[in-house]
Amino acid sequence: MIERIDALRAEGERALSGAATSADLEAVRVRYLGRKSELTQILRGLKDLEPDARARAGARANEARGRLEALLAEAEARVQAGSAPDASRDVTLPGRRPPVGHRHIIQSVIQEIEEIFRGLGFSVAEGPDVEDERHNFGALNMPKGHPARAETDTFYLRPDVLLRTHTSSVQIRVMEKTQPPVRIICPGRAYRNEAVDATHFVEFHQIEGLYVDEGVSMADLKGTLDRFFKEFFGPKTEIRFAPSFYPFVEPGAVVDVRCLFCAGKGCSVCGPLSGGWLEVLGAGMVHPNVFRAVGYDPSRWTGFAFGGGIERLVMLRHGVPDVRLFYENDIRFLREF
Amino acid sequence: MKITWKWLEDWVELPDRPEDLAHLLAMRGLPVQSLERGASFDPGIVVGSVVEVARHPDADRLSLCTVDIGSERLSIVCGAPNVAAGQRVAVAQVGSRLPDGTKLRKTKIRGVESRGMICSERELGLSDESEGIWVVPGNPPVGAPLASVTGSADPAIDVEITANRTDCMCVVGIAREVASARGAGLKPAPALRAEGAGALPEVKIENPADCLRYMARVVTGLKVGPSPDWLSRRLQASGFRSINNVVDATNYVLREFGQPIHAFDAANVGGNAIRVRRAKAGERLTLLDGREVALTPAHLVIADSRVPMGLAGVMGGLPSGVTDATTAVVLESAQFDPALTRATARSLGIASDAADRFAQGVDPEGVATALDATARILADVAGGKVVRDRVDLWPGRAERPQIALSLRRLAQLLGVAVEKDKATQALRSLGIEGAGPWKKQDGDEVASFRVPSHRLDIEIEEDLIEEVGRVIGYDAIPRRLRAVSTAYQPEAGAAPFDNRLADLARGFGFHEALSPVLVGEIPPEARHGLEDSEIWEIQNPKSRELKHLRVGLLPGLIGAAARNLHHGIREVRLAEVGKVFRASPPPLGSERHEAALILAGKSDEWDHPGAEEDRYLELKGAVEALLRALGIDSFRTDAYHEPCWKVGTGASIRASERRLGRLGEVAPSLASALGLNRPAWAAVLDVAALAAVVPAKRGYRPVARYPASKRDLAVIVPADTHHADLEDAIRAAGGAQMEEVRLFDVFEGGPVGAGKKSMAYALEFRAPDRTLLDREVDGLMEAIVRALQTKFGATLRGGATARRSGGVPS
Repeated sequence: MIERIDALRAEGERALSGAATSADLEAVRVRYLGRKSELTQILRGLKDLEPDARARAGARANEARGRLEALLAEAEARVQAGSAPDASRDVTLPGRRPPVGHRHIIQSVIQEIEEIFRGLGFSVAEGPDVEDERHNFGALNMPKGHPARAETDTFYLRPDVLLRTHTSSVQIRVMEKTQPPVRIICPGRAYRNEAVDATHFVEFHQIEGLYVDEGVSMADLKGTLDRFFKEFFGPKTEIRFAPSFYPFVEPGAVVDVRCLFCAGKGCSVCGPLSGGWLEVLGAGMVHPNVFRAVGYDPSRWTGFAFGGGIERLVMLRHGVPDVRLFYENDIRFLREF
Repeated sequence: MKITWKWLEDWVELPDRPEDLAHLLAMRGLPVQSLERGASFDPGIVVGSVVEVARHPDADRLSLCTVDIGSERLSIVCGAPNVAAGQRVAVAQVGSRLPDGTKLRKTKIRGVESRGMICSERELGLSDESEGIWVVPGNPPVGAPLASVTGSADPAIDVEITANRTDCMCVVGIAREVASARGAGLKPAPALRAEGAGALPEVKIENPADCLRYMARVVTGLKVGPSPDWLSRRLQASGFRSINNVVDATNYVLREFGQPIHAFDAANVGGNAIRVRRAKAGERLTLLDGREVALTPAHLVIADSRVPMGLAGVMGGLPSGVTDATTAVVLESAQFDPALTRATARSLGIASDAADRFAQGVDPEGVATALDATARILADVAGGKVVRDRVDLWPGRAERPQIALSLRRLAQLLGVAVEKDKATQALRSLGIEGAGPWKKQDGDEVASFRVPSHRLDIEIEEDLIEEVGRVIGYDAIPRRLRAVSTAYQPEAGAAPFDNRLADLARGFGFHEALSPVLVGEIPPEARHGLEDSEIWEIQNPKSRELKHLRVGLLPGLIGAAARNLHHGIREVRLAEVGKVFRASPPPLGSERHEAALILAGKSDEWDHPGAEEDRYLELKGAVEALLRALGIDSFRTDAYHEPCWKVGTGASIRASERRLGRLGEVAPSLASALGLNRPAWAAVLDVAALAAVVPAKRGYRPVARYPASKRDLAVIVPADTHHADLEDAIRAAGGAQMEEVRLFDVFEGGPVGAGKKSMAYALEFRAPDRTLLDREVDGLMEAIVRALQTKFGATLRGGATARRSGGVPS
């Protein structure tokens, strides 16, 4: 009985959707909803069934009848109207749109990077933009007179107070307060007294990472950054480490990604000699002098650190040609992301 | 640092392709910045032989040259004074293109036909400046394409050297890295033949700490003149100007070995004596660049028996310098105290390559190699004879330190186990020799290594580990991702809250802005009453526009609004969340997070039809919605004034006695100072205050099960009555069952009467456990009306309150 009701309903639905004229519709009505229709007969015959079966079949049959009646009404409206649209409603009018704002691409990328690293067990740490020489230089193995402390690159506020030139200063602040293990990233602004051009502005954003524990090695650094860049640039991203120098790490490395523009075939972005690699981060194993400066025992703990510019990552991933665009707040630019 | 391919090839076998060399060096930590392959000349530019030079019939300064290019003889007009018969020259034939793209045509110069051009170095792109035509060196075959003979095939290579690798600031240093990477040795250097006779100067070092090593050689019988082509070409490629063969030889050695060499004219070394000593007060010296400096005992000089001849390690003096008349030189190669050299150069304001190198520290053993190389080159290019012996004072001679390397530590840092033989071999390829066998020690193996004298950067075990890593290659390090071993560390920072605010503002249609922290002069209206001493000022600012740290976000947003409206954007809605700065308390001042919103321009007529333009309420509504979205349900606005707001528009928002923020219409004087000439509305929120009142967690409250009783109340009150005060009074009188007080109309003028306004409220009463009776609600309404009458002199508009819905008739 139930199967028959369902079959009648399906047949009726098909017939209604195919009906193109009033005559068609009338025929469908008589066949499926008329007084002599099979569905009506079934409803009439319900009284002869057992109470249980009667209830189930009755509900099913009424549901099918209701559905077919609704579809019939719609189909009648459709057939009557023909193809002419409702003249009282111009459906092509623009809707009334609530205003929609956009996150700044730099901020949303920082948030995205934070989320990736949280997933890898890192916490987000913050520190002051206004720093002293100890946290920005001295504790990072750049004692007074160190060439990397070139005064010309640093904005000084007072003889010992400066705008941090990198977010590496936050590493020191965290390690001073926390015993290992430490696994943090520190995003934030950094400031350098540089000539302003398409790739340099006096302010920029950096992200710094630090992992100190027993037995941390360059393999952990490589694994962490490989995972990060695959999430950030896409699963096919390849990274490469090459030796480099930063006073607060030893061994030191520069981290490249396979050029995103030419897939490593060589192009104007990665240059003819890079072999198709783009420099994205500096990294290395925390220098023992840095551990000594914060009171960690360098014979017990090892750690890796890395750091890089957010603007560069955004410029590479989103094709932004000029770093100054990030600070102009032109709404036409902000709306692009 | 720039060198050339062939120069490097003098010292080590190179890979075939430049790309391979670039890769090899990059993987050693010496990335190649550029590699100029030199000009690849048009095949129409060929070697010609000047057969005859005649005067141009019509011009004194021009010559009419007959040039043999093998296939034919061309008649070419040439303006260069140095053209002469017998020279090999570069001839650009008619139809060929010069490197700058110029195409040669047959022309008539002063009536005489010229079939091509004899080229200068500049025209060929070989040099920035050149006098006259270029005489092609050697004896290349006539008619050969120039490209096949110039060695356009000696590309300049620009290598980036990190601050620690001062040993690579020279050709030999880079060659060492290439040799190590290719598992080969350096090619042997040509031998010096020092067989001349002559007296060496008598040298004394006054203070051994000032000068660690001093060596000298004498070359006699030389002739100062222009350098041969190979020498000047290599120097030019690496950024030096060719001066004469003697100076060029010293610069060549500086670039080849990284060791500064100075040449004194032997005739001007008084008493044939050299004293390395501190200057005496009052002594003066005219330097090679013509400057005269006054010396003090803080300066180290090289003197003869009487007077200073040069500033040690910084710059030579003019009187003792080499001139065209010089026939014998004393060559100095030394190692001066780095700090003293730096201090001397800095105190006198002199910058020189030599001072930089000595300040970085030179290789004490390289002092000898470089000295002999200079003498050999001088003998070659200036025809001199090298006196047999040499001076060598080495008071600072010291054993190179030995550094212990543990295999366990090596594996721990690199993350890859390296066998001991492989480690030894890797270090040996860099000249770092084992000082003893590997010894077992607590399950570890340890050996000592002796670092060569040119590697001043290697001081600790980690440095050795990096060297092993560089040689085995960082590519050999595996990737490993460790599970979280760290104890949970709660984050104390403001970042998540900042993000939440920016996300909410975005939801209300505000684009997130990011303004510079560094700003110019801060307008007085935007200083929030701060004294100058509380505003950070940069001591060495880049410009007047980047001089202070911002004390608030408002000026940045006003400027951004102005620029956007100027670009033709109709409506500006911007939000920013960021740090603002104060210079107190010492030492580092204070940093706060602020959030700000700005609204300016016109909203879209279609999207907001018939909206009576009250942008003030629109901005305030956005702020209130933001607070509610954060879960701050209860806050209060009060009028206040601050110069950044237009008079009468300032409002302060408080919750639990804490000021959360301020808003208002931007004061026109402030706006116009920042380039904005239209009204703008803005709000500034204190992020820490917001965070403090945001409920940490939201608890469940039962949703009401009984219907509310709704009543409308319209009262006429004096025009200066504040809504907030009315609402407070309504709530107080309405008691616990007063659930919602919603203003739905404000009306002034007309029937209401002057000095008055009508305020209409929709009120909702509800009890949690039952449906309220109509008479209960009537009683509450009466109490409310009475309270408003007493407090504000309110009168009911229309004479009665209206029942809307709900309630049970009694």
